Amino acid sequence: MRELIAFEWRYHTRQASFYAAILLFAFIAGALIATGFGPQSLPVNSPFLVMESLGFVSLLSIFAVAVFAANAALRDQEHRMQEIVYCTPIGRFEFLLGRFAGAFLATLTAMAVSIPVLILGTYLPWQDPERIAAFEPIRYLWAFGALTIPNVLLAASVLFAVAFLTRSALWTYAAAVFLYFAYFAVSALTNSPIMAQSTPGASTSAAVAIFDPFGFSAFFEITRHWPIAAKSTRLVPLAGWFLYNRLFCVAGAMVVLGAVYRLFSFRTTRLSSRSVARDLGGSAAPVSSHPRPQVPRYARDDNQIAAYRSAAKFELRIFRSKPVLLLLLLWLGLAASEIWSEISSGEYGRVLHPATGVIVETLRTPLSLVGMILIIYYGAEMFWREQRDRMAAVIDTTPVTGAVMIAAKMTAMASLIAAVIFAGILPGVALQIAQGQDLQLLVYLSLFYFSGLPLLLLGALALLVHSLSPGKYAGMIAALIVILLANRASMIGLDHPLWRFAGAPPVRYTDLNGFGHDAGPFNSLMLHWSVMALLFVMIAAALWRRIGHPIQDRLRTLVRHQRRAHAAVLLVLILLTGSWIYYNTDVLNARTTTDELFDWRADYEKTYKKFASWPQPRVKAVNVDVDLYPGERRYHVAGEYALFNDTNAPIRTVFVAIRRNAVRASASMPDARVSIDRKFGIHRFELVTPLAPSARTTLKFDLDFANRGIPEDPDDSIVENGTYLMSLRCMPTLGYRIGYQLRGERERRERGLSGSGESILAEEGPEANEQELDRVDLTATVSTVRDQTAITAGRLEKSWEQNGRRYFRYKTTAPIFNMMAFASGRYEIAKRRHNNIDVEIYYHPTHRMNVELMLDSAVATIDYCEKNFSPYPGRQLRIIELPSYWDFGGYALPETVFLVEDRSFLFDTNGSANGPDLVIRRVAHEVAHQWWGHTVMPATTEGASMIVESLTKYTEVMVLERMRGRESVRRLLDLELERYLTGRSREETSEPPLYKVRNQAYLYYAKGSIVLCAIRDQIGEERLNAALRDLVREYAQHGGRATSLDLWKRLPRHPLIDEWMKDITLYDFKVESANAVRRADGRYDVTVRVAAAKSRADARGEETAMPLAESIDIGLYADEAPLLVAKRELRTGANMVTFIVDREPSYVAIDPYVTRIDQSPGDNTFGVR
Amino acid sequence: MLVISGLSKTYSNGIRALDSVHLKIDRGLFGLLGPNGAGKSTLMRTIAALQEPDRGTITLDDVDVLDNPQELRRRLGYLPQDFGVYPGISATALLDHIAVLKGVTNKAERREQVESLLELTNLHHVRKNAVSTFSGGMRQRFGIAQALLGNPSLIIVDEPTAGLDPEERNRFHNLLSEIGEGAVVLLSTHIVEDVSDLCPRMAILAGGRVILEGVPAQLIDELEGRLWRKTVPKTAVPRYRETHNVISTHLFAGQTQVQVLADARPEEGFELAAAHLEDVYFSVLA
Repeated sequence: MRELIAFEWRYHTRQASFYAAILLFAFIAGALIATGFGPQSLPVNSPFLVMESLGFVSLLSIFAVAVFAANAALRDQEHRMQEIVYCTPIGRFEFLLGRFAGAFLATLTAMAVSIPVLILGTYLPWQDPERIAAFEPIRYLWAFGALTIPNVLLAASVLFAVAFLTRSALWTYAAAVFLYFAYFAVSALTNSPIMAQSTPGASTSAAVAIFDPFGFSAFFEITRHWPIAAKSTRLVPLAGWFLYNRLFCVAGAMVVLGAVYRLFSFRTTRLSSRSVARDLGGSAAPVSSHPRPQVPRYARDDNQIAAYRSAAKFELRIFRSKPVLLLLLLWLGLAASEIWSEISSGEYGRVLHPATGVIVETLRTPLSLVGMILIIYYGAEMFWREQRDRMAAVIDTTPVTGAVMIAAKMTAMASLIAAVIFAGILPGVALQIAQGQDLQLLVYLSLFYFSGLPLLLLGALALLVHSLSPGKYAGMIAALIVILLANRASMIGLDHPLWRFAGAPPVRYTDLNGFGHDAGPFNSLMLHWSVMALLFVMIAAALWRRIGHPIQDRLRTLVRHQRRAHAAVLLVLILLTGSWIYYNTDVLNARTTTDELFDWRADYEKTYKKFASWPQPRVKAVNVDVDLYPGERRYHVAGEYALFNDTNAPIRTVFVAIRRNAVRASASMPDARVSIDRKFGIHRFELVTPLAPSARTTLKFDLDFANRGIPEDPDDSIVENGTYLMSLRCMPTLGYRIGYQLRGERERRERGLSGSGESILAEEGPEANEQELDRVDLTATVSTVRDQTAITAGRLEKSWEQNGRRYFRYKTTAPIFNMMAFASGRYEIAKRRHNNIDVEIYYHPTHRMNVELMLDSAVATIDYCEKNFSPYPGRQLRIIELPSYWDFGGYALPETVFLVEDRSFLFDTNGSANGPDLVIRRVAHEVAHQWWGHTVMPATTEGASMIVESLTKYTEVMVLERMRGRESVRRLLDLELERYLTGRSREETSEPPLYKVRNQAYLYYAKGSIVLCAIRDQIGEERLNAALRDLVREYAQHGGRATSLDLWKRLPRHPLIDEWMKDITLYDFKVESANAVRRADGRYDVTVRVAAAKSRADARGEETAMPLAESIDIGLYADEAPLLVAKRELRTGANMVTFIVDREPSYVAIDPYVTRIDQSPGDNTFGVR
Repeated sequence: MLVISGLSKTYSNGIRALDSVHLKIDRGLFGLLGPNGAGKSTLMRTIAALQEPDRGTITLDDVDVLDNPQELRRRLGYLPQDFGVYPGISATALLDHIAVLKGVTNKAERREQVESLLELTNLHHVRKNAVSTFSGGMRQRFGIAQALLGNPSLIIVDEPTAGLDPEERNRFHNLLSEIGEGAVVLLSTHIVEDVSDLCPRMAILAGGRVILEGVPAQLIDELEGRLWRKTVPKTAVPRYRETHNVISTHLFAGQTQVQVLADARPEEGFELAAAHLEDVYFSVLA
């Protein structure tokens, strides 16, 4: 037996594919470690990241396993050793075990290479020394043993079984692709962080994690709430879902292998199972006695087009192959589940209307993944078909040219890609028809171009790789590496688009703006890649009759080829299109690497920080003309600021910052000399006569901005329909810009700067003096094309047409913070007047669904805030719909609120019980910002987002509770708790207490809403609102900026408030039992046993136990309605609480309205027996 | 007329597969004999433009094949020594496909050719069956049918009768002799009988060189009266090899016969034997 396995091992390790596999695994592991994969807060060699990295590597193992398994099972047949081997006296068991063990061990050996690569990569010179923990070999061995080995065991046994039982390479690959599909489906269903974006608060089904063939979902499930400290030091235990998943893998492998053993037979299938043509030719009559037909002689007609048609017809027979059809069917199912999960379970469990844009966007990523997998497998299958079937000599002696054969293969490849796209579209179309949406077939068809063409070009690349490869399997793995490189060139520092073959910036579809400005760069790049692919195909065609010949023969063939002139022409074309792209990316646009940008930020700080304390004038009024040219994607901004010296010192120097990429910029002040620092766009005005205290002056500016060529990141602010132009992007700012500063301690240290770049929350208040503090009167004339409406803050004074353009003049009725945006689009408008305020919604004509609900919510929010905080300062509130380019749910500016189409307007409010909640909340949230953010302005320091976001979130919850009842709050806070626990587990640096929150959404939204609702629960809504009212009064009247401490000071002194705001306080409640006993009077005695604990955590999640003695809500529910919610004191350890209720409860819930941060909320509810 | 001159090929592992091969081959069957590894397949594959030689030229009817392989392919029918077929495809469909690839693009003509070749090779009754299910003899006949598609003027058949039973071989020979009338047919084999049965001309290739070329009957004639045979004990064979020009030893009814080439009776007990082509073959290889 040992000898058998040793022979197999030797056999595999001598194949070119083995070394290709080693290269693949080393490359993946190297790329992960060298780029410092993972959050900054975790050491690169922490157990969590080691396991995640090895998990990634094992995701790719399936390619190698498929090759090795096919090799183990099919090589007798391919090399026609079958009869010899099968007739030896070896037993079935020894034979199969030997073959399997050989393939399995070879794969493991190749994969094990990733371990030393990961270890060595830890010590690369550019690694952050703070992210290197002590070397512990057990972390690697554990991850390899617990994750990799079972993964490979399952994959190898499944593929081995398919290979041995079907004796077909095609079925083997199909099975490999199927395993991937299973993995994708499970990942999508469990909302795994590995999928493109996992959404906060979406529900996950842990049970599905069991069947993830790679264990990833279970791994993420079990570590979902682990704080940084645990991820840095703890090995992931074989427990819970992870254990079950691993057992499933191993048991699955055993079952499959057992089945192979039972079903495998040494009888060669070919002769016994298929019908064999009977030969009549063997009859006794000699041939010469037959009448002999004469072969007619014909003139030859050398028609390569006919040859192409016939060859293509042959290649297209792949659509008759059952594995291909099965795969298409599976992909159709996968696409359906992807679309369905995107539509039905996004952030906060929202449900979307299945608009074409949503479906197309959902399909894009899985489509290209599935397409690439199929290209890698079927590319090999197609290219080596003649070799495999030993038809090559027959075909190659016919006059058919290599070009015809390659063209036929490319045709089949294109058809396969088209079939994949078609199968992906089908469920989308079906869903739309079922829900009565209007079909935009052209948008669907565009997928064939935007997704199909890049895949086809990758197919050409794969054919080139195969034509240079020594064999099929080596070619397959080489094609995988090359395609990975083409996709992830930036991983190894090649981030210019010209390094990414067949790549282009993603082409996004939005209902408002169609394919918009993304299509242009795509077209240019695709032209370039298509010419290159043509060359690849030509090379593959030239080498057609040299498949498998020594490489030097092939190169010689290429050099001598008679079409080298054509190739030279193509090369010149490639150079031309490449230069054209370079001109568009690097000459018309400035490309900056991350390092260059960091240097720039550091240099800015070094140059200008010293002037930050110099007094600067304040802006009192803004008078501006904005001319938008959406179709041409350019705009012109001209106007003036009225300036005022509100300091006690004369002002001699004024610093004006203008965005560097203005096409033309001029700025002037009366009686001043200007010097311009082009590197930072700083205009420095030296006033000839210093501006005396209380004196006034003006700043005039005239700026042009335009988009040309192919920018690094597309400019989504000026687009054909749905322009959204922030004043920060297009208007000058005064003084020092903290926003330009470099953040991140390590990056600053490397550039000789100290600190984190963010200002520390100091008890005495903020240090900065930024311009947005100013409250200004705005007069704006915004012009746009004739069929669009232009919008900004203020009352619409006047609108008119002139020279075929529309003009709108807006003027504010009360001063607003100096932050505004200019919008333009083809909108319909819904209006409602309430409390003397005009509420208006500007929406895309087909997006009417939620507009009424939005108006309701806006009005309810205005009511709540005016009653509890302060009157709304303006006379109008405008809600404007934006294309889905923007990654915010909503953005609030003075008097204007911007909402994104697929994050509110497209929500299906009938789709689920809490459907309307999401729309109500989103609108309420942005409207509430008119108070939190625009009436009370936060200091730019730690804790600022508590003022801006947490208070807004609190207001949102209050509005929701009034509109939808208390149970809707429970659903919401459940999601926020999950968001907080997941968020702290993925923290990039360290977790501060709430009052020192930095840019951490899981704190200022999630924890903030829980803590403020808990404070309300402790001290009552009226006392809390009184404190907030006081905060508003102070800052609305006197200006200045509020910190989280200003909020804290106004709250009653209460130890719990301090623990929640100024510490990280965690609870853990668990219902251990709950019993109901019917009393003599017909009511019920309910006894609940609760285990309780409380702890304080540090920034890395290290916990210290604290004594607990607090009154906590306990709710008894019958079905979904509460029977009784009452407070009971819970103490550390076991607690017994009793209730008397009228009806028999179905379940009990501890802290149902989420007033405490419970580390494991899953065990807070319990069925009553 | 196929003219090969000065053809040489050395593989990268140092094996000299062809060493300055010269041959002139006229219409009709031409037998190329040689032991395994003599370079026959390399020569065949080189003529079929499947690989390139290091040196030398090949012309077919005054067309330089190496410079213009496409011209050759238009006139070539090739039956490889070892070939397979796409699985699950019927004989008619596959022949039709290959005919298109060979440039027979008129549908009616193609159908006629395919039909008549199926008749010729006696595969008509199985034309709808997948070729992959054919027996060895049927598959070889299918091979010759595909080689004849498009009416080639050069037909190369590489080891066509290996593995065929005597009756199949007989049928195959009939087929070959019929098609040999209108084209250059190059038959590569290591089975001497194939050549003696079929070929008016032949050459023997060994170690990459042509060591004998001529008309089989003449070559046999040259041995007439010089070939001696004796039955000897097995143990004596080495001694005979040392002292005589032994060209071959045979087992006949369990006894060992040595054959010696000599102008006069070499020793008592030797008797004159009738010469066969096989003896010519052995005599040049010995």
